[in-house]
Amino acid sequence: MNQIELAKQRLLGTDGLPGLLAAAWDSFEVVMAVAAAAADQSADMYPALTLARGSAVSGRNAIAFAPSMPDGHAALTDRPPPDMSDVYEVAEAMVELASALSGSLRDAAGLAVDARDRAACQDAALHAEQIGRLLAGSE
Amino acid sequence: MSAAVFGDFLAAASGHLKAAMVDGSNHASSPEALVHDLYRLVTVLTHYCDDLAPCDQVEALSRNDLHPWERAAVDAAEALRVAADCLQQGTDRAVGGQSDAIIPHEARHLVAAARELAAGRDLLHTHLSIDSDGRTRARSEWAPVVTSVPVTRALANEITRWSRVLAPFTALLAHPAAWETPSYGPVRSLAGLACAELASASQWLHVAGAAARPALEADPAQAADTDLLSAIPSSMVAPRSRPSPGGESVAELCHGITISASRLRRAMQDSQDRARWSPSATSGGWQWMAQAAAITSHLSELALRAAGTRADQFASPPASEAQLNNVADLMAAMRAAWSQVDQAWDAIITETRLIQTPAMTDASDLLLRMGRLVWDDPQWTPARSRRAPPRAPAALAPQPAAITDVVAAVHHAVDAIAHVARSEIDAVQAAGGAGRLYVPTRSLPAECNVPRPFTPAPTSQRRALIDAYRAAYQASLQVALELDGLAVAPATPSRVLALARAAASVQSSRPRVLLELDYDHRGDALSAGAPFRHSRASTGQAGPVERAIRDRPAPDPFALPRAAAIDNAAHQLIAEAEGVTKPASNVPGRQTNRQRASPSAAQLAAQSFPNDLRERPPEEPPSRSAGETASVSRHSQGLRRQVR
Repeated sequence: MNQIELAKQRLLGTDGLPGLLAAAWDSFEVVMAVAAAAADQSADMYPALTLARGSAVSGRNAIAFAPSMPDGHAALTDRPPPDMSDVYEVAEAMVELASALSGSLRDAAGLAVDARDRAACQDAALHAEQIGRLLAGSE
Repeated sequence: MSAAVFGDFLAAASGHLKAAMVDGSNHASSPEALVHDLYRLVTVLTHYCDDLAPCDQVEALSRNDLHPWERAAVDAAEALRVAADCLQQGTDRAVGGQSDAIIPHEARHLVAAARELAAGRDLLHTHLSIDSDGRTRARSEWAPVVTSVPVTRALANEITRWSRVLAPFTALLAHPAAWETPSYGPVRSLAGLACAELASASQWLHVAGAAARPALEADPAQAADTDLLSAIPSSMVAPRSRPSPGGESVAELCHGITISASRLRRAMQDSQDRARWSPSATSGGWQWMAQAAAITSHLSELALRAAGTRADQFASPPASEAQLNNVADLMAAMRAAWSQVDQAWDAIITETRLIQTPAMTDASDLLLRMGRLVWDDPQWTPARSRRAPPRAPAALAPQPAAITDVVAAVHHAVDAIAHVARSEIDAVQAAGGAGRLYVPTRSLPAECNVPRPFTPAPTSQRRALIDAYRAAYQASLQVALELDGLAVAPATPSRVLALARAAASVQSSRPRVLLELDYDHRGDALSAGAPFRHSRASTGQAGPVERAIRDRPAPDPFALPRAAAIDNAAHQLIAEAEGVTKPASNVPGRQTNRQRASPSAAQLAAQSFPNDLRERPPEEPPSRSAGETASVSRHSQGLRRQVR
């Protein structure tokens, strides 16, 4: 299982807002790392991957403003990065992860009690949706 | 419609002067009207020389550091001033003879020439302003060109040439025959006095014209100088040209890139000042700009490679494939450098997040058009980039001249990006100095146990960010210089960029334009080597104690206000001991605008906790003091008086 698959699994398997926020943080970090590695592999996808990486940074930073964000440090995964031989496949995998991120964060925003948690989740969900739009090539 | 440039006014003025010389060669009627309008024209020429002269004639005698053309401007200014005085005297005498004269054609041409030249001078002044300390400050990226030696040379050469043209014209007016009209019958004595003043004015105009002779021998004026002078635009920003959703031709895309690049350069002006306080200066915005610069570099590289392929198919292309590929290789390095800046922002954040700025809008337009130049999709966006078909080299440049257009578009884009890098080095340093940069503690190593979501960015991280910006600036500048080399051929659309960069590096000794605020020289009372030279209260920069706290891997935000207070007190104590400043209590209610306000305890505390913009009202920009407003107003009035 590679970084993207693991991040998605963690995201969908979490329970409670703090756990979701920690998993979302890690998922955004995975997008940042994979997009940076994939950007140099494809001339046509370079703009989309670069901006998707930026959206991942913004989404991750948005989560940091949530009061329910647990203390601690990013869980550095020792899983291998995805196979970069087909950048379009990697992009597809990131679109799926971004979709899962967006859905989880939207759900969490609906359930959060603290307004700042809600705002952070909604803000981060917007950035996740932007990652999906950029990498799906559907605009 | 293209923006007005100085050359428009110069050409119009020259046309009117030529017409006045032809029409006025026989001085058929109303010499008093001619004298009056000649006086106005010479006055405008005097103002031009005053602008170029770094000092007066008395001071010039004791200076040996003046450029020959600056000395020429000093001498010409003095001679023109005397000539104008003589013409004014002549006007007074002549009006004594007749006050209801019909204005002849030649006088109208003189008036028009004076008006065009005055408008041209106004245009040059739009690039400069005088600050509250009386220092000349840049208002646009053209300011260092306006104050450069090549522009000084071109302008002084023009003014002295005009003086040489006006001298014989005035001599003809000084001849008594010019006043032999029926209206002057009863007052010939007055006309005689006017002739004497005019003869004197003619002599002084000769002197003004001759002032250029030593300079012409030592440092002849070049055609490129005049080209550059003529190309100086007003500091007005061109209106935004939105990328058309219906698609644009290659020529339209190249033109649009030029406009977006010029707007982007202007949008970066004053970004350093804004970075200290403006909520719109954010880590998200800076990171986005770095990404846009990296993407534009990538797209420019592809455009140059396609242009290189096409160049190989022409018998005599404007640039060879090898030359274009060489620049494309440098663009790849430029992209890598900007990617480093982008990644350096991953772990640094400001208290407010991404807010769209005008610079981002222009950078976005630039990026879109560059993408549409490279890819064969009129609606290309980064989100539509997957498997985009590249534009065929033959479609990119059907004719050799189109290669020049593509290179010029890339040249403008790279030049704007170099401006972005330079401005953002200062802006990010200012934001760091103002304590606006943080790191999310979650991204720190596990041994940094900080029980808060954010902590001030450690000095090492800020330094790495600035180093990344410096590398990006150097890489961008290197590409810009390579493109300057390709653009120097006459009639190349971006030639003026190359001339401007070369000129800006050779500054005249006029009051230097402050292109950037030098923190080491602002409001700093202590000598360079003094301990506690910097403190928040004096220079706005972190003092040694605060720096020591910040240098820790996870600085304690509660310790920072205390450290700043210690630095402030130490600075004050040392300054008093050195006798360079009085204790603050000795000057109640007075704070010079060179001295930075000491941050309040609340401000210092606020530095420790970034807040979302939504949770606090936007800050107001620092208001202009009454003294500053009055000074600017005085300056504006002075300019208006001068060009009247």
